[in-house]
Amino acid sequence: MALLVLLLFIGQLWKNSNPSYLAYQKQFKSLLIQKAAQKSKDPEFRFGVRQRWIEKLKKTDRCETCHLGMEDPRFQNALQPFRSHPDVGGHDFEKFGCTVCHGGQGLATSRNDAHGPVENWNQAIYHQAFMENSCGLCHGEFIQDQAPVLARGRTAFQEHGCRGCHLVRGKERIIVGPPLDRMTQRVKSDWLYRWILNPKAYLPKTKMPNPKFSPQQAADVAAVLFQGGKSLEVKVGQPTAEGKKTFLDSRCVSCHSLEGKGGILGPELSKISSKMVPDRLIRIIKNPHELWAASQMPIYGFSDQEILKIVDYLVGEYIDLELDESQAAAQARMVQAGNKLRGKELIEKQGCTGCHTQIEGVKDRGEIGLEMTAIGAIHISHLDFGRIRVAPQDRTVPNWLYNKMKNSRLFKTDLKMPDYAFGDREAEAVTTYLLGLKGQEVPAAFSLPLGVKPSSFAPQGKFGRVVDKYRCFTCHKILGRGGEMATDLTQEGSRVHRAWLEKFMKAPDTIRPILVERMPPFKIQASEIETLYTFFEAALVDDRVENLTGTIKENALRDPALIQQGKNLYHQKYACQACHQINHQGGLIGPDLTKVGDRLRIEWILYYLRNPKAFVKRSVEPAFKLADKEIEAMAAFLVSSK
Amino acid sequence: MRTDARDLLFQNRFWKSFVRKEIPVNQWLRTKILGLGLINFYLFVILTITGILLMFYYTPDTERAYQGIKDLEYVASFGLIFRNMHRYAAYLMLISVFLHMSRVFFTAEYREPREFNWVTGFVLFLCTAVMAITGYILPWDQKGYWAMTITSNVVTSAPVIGEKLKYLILGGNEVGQNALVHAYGMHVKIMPLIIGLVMGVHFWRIRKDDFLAWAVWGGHLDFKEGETPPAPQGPEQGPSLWQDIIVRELSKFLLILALVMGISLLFNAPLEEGANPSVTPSPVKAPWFLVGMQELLSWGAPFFFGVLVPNVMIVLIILIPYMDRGREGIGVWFHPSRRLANILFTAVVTVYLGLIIVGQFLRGPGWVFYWPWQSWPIH
Repeated sequence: MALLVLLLFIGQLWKNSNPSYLAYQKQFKSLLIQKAAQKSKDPEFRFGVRQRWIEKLKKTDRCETCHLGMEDPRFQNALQPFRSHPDVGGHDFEKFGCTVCHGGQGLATSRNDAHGPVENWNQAIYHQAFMENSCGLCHGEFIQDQAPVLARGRTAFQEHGCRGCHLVRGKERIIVGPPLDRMTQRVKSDWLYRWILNPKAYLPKTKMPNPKFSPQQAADVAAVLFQGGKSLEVKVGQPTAEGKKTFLDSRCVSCHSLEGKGGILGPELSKISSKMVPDRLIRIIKNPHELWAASQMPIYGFSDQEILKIVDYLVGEYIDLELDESQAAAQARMVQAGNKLRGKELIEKQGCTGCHTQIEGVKDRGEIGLEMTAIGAIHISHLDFGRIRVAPQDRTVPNWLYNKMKNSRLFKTDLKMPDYAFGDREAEAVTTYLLGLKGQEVPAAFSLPLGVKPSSFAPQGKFGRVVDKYRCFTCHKILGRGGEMATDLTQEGSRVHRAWLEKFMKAPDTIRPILVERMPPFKIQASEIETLYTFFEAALVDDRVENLTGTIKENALRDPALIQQGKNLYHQKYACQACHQINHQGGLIGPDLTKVGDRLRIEWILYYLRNPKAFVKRSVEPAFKLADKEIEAMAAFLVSSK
Repeated sequence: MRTDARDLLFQNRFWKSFVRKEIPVNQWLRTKILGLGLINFYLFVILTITGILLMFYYTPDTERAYQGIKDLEYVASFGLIFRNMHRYAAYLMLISVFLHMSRVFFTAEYREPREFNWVTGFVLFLCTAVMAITGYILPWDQKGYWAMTITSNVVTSAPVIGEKLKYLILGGNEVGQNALVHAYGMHVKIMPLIIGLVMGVHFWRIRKDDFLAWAVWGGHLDFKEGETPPAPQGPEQGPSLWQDIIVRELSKFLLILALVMGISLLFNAPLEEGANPSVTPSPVKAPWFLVGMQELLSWGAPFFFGVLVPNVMIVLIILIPYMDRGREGIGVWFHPSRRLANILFTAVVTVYLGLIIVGQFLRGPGWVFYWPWQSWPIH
């Protein structure tokens, strides 16, 4: 008996002195000795638990008990767990620890318990794909450059209108879909039916999710939507070459796609005649804002005659060839016979009002979905895997979210959430963003918002009206607000000549050959250009450029020797033609530099050459660090190019 | 020389002082009473020692208690083993205290003059349960937190004073820091003190009552008037016999120690996620020894099943020796004259065990009944 107790005691001693991390530490020590083989002395190595205590974050991380090579550059290519941590821009491990970013159980000293998921620790370590969710904890959600996945997730979350149904405290509700009033004057009823049944069948790139209605349900819903009086009958003429020319010249495909090719801002047009009532097309082209205040489409300023020609062309040319007339008629009849009561009930229950307003007779019931304020910190027991059998090690919050994003009805069929059918990339991004919504704040000492928060710059007055009419913000950014598609206009006053702007606004030519999206030729009036330039000149300037005015000796720049010197620099030393074109010669990556002197002010050229990233942070132009003399020569050459 | 040394070791006044007079040692050796009382004492000793060691690492603070347990588990030398031992010894003690009590009942040992020791023994049983409940809360994990929550809710079903009582126990309206400190104070200070004192009384009474009323016991046995006591079966003394008893009882200690250590080596004490008031486990289950009570409670009115039934049971059990004044069958296992009493006792015990089994294994989310082969709706 005493012997048994002794044996057990020895067993306990053994168990205590052989924790699971010891094997790793022994392995690491032998690696260390190998790496230090050249040196005479064996490296020092202390066996035992390594721990970082981050008092302010209430974290105790013992990860380095096994991840021993974390800060040792010699272990850059070592196998895990010894590989050194990649550079993360000044995140001091002593200040941050590990689990605040990676998740997992920092207290644990065995692999399974630390990495998880284990039953007694809700948070397993994050998969590589979702790592960026933690960046937002300290840095906010606008960190485009350092956390592109998170930023993509944020954009997707906004653009798909998630906030319409899901409450996130501190974030404003955004209704992303178009208002649905007067539908009879807008679309054809059979199209409406097919659209509700499966939006992606008509428009593969649409952000509208599939509500997964049965055919009868779709007809009922369409019946509710399809009301609002008769549309004006418009007689549509034969498509003309004139109409086609106007359509093409106006560069509609910068935003709209035709059979999948073209821009992504507006809807596909190749089957437009099966959708739209001609009268509506006319009214949209004339003034899209009147029908939908949030529309991104500019008012072109076409004459009524031109609009009619365009509509003739659209309706005549862009028809749905696969559409069976009799089927369409049957669908129209289904909608007519649809049960409006049931339809209304469905619209309210399924949360159509999360994205659409002004549905006649339907009240917005606010956010009907689950609150998402702290979805990233939710306990796994709150998430229902439904009929899917999931192994315990896969029952994690990220896994649930990711699969839900890919197929919202995966776990249960009779849910309200429509199916967004995100691809891998989008699902990853949205999951990352959702995981970042932890509903908690880090101590002030850790908070360091990065990136640019979209500004709420809203120009008023004359300038505001012009910007609003042409929806400049759709493509251009001004003072932090607007799209990424075209040039940031924040320093436009310092950048371009007035004469060039006047010419360009009337007949825009191609500056950046590589882009699909082109500046559309608006029917802009001279007074509007005047308004624009006055504001550019007065407000959208940079004093660092303006201060150069008067310091430049124009005459010196006309010196042929200097121009020749600049030419050599351009063609030989810096080989600018690799990216830029002059007279159709050179690469297509950068803007065309033919007659650049007419476009850009000399002050701007000088300043820009000195530091290309000064204004355009993401400019891909290499920073050559040109000498002052070289800058002068280069500028002289560029201005002289005809 | 060898004999002298042995005499010195075993035949001394220390051991002799445990009994009032010479007792027939070899009769003792032949008894079939299992020695559960001593086993309880051994477990108490193990619990005290491991408990004191655990106190070094533990802080009764809602922020740090759980982390303290994790530290014990992952970094403190022998922390995991001592925690395991403490937990399993406690479970064993609950069982063996109960078995001890059952043994005393089945052999009718509670009868005069040992009525009072039945009462102290039962108080010790209740104290063990209180120790178990308070100890359950200390890791401040989900199980402990929610066990405390439902226990305190049961308390509120007491008439008139229910709410106040809950407030008193928790030190507030919610299970929080005060409740944890209260539980800790009870577990490491008040209850050990009470148990120590009552245990002293229990032992003192045992000595005073000359140990057992075992039928074959030669010494102090109660006889009816006019009966002749059986002839003493000769002096049963001598160094070897004393030594046998001591070796036997001490080897039981080693056996218990080995058992506890063995289990601790193989299985880790359960620990759930840290207490989280916003995540309610479904179903919330009481500690296993109380789960029968919870099952009982689920049947209906909390006052009836949660307060009346248990308290009536407690009073009845305490009063057993004062109600059953018979003289027959003392010290005999399952004496035929006590058939009814034995059946009644067994029935009550079986019912409670059944309740525990139903509550522990057959109740799913929402306290709905599920057979083991039926799967719970996962949510």
